[in-house]
Amino acid sequence: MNLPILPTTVIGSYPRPKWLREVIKGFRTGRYDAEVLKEAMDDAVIAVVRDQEEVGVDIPSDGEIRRDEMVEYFAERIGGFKFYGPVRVWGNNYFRKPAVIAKLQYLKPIVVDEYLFLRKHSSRPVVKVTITGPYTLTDWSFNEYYESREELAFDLARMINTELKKLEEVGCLYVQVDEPALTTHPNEMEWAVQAINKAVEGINMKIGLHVCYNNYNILKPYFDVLRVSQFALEFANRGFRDLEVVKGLTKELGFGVVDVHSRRVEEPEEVVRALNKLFSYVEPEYVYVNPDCGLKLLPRGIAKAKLEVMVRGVEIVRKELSKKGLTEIPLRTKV
Amino acid sequence: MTVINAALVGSFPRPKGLARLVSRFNSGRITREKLEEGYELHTKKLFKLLTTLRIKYITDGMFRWDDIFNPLISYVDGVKVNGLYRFYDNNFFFRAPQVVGRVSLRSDCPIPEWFKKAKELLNEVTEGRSEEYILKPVLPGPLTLAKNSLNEYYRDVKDLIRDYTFNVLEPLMKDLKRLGASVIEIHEPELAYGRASVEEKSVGVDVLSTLIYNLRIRAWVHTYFGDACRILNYLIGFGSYIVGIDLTSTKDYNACILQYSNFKSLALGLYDSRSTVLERSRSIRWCVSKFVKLHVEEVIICNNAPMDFIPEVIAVRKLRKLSRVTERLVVTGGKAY
Ligand SMILES: [Zn+2]
Repeated sequence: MNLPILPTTVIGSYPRPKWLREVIKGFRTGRYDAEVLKEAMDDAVIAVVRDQEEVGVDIPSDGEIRRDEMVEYFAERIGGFKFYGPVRVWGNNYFRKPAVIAKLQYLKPIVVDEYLFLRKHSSRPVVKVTITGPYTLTDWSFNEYYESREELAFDLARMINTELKKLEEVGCLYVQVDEPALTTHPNEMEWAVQAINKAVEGINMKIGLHVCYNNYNILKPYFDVLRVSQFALEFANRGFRDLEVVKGLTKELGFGVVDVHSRRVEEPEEVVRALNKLFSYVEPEYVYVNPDCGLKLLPRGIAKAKLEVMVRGVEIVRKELSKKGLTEIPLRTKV
Repeated sequence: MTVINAALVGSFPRPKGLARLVSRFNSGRITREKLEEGYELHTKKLFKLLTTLRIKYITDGMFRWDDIFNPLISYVDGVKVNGLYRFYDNNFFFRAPQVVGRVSLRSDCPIPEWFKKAKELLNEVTEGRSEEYILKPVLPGPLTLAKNSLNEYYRDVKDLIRDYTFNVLEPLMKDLKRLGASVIEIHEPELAYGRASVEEKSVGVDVLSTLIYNLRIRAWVHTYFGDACRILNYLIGFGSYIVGIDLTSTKDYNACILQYSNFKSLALGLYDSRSTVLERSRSIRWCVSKFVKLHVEEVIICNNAPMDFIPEVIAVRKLRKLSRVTERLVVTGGKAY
């Protein structure tokens, strides 16, 4: 299967429509039942897929609309976790950090239904499903059961591997494993990388790895070791400095071109400049274009505007590339 | 005879109800007065818990703080409050001080006022018996402040360490002393975590011990996130004050116990603020008994680090255990059985 050169995509999350947030609130206070909530979630996914397709994104996601939080969502659906209460992450922001209190158990498919719904409602040939990786699930949980964090991570890797196989069985083509915690403890990198490899073992779909707001110099030595075909990294936040880090990358780069922590909507020319700068490090045939990270924390209008800028910028660059005969790339599962 | 006491070090998890009030205040949905009521209510609740558990050295839970730097740094001239940075190796982030000019404390810093208010609340909760407890204001140490700053002004970070000490902490600590703080708790995780150079650490220790000496206060210098065996040469500079060490991050404390025999007061961070696993009382008693044998004047049993990293229910369970273990050790005179 072929994609237009510089395929545009998202990292995963997208702002929940305001009305959905009202329904969720109503569900929590007992005003709406689970059926109403489900219908609202479905409608919201359709709406945000539409947002992405309208501005021209090639590979949309379901906006992770059904997930409150990227660790919580999986911990709630894997046996052996317990929630004691919220824990502060910064300022007045909290997350329900789960604790592993028993041997983990794969109960049933976690995101397969998400994929099937997205597949049905997207007009694009390829869509993206995201899964939180074994190391981040480990690092953002308390461990009360396993002898070591390493052992916990490998058990999680096995669960994720099962889930990936199920996604593959139903025809999914592209999964992104999210590992925002990956370089937090440099002394754990060796086994963290092996846990990710375990999670993707025997999988033939396209697998990307998203690592954001990390020290990429710690990640770099593992570019070749990690059995994924793409690294989706954040660069707009860094003002497109540190690009040397991807020099010599033998895999695809998912290039973050818009900053998700700023409400300023970039100009297409900024995207063009960033891409042209990148091309002295990575061949255009090995570049995907995406925002730095999930768009969830932005107002919906700004999120959509940022995606539009991203696509407009890419269109300008594609015109130049087409003069050199570069118009398409294959959907690579192995690089 | 070694005195054995219990303590809460640093923050206590901000209760859910209070967090809700803070976010409603931030979005303009409630008044400053309503938020103040919330702070009072939850601080009193915490004091009630701590005094019921007869924990001697306490804090007000630092409910008004976002992390050990904020809001202090927003009352420092020469500092802008910058983006989010990771707090050591935790999934916890703080707004970093961006140093753009010479640092000095502004006169409108409310921290002394907050201490005064907390003291009044403690007095209310204990019905006038607040002297039985030692309420500690908590401040970040100069080394930790400097090494977590984005320094764009000082050519030499050691000058920043000095200015944080004498232009920011000194006036603040003077005020706190004037308002009746008998012990001031100073957090220096940087000393134990070990990113700072030897030279920077030495300067940090020098200037802080000079400041403490000049102010004639009882200081509690608390280190965490690093092995206590490796930092002894720095801690010796604080030998006549209370020195806090993180035993949950210490691999082999048997190896280093003897080195601590020259200290006066040791605060043993034995309850892990980063784990939901409840410590086994037997092993805690065993460890404390080893330190008691050193004949230091005072051994204090406490959490290793701020408690922001665990849910409130777990923090409560840990404090209950800590209190029970301390009482048992007081009865046995510090013996493990
Ligand atoms: Zn991200």
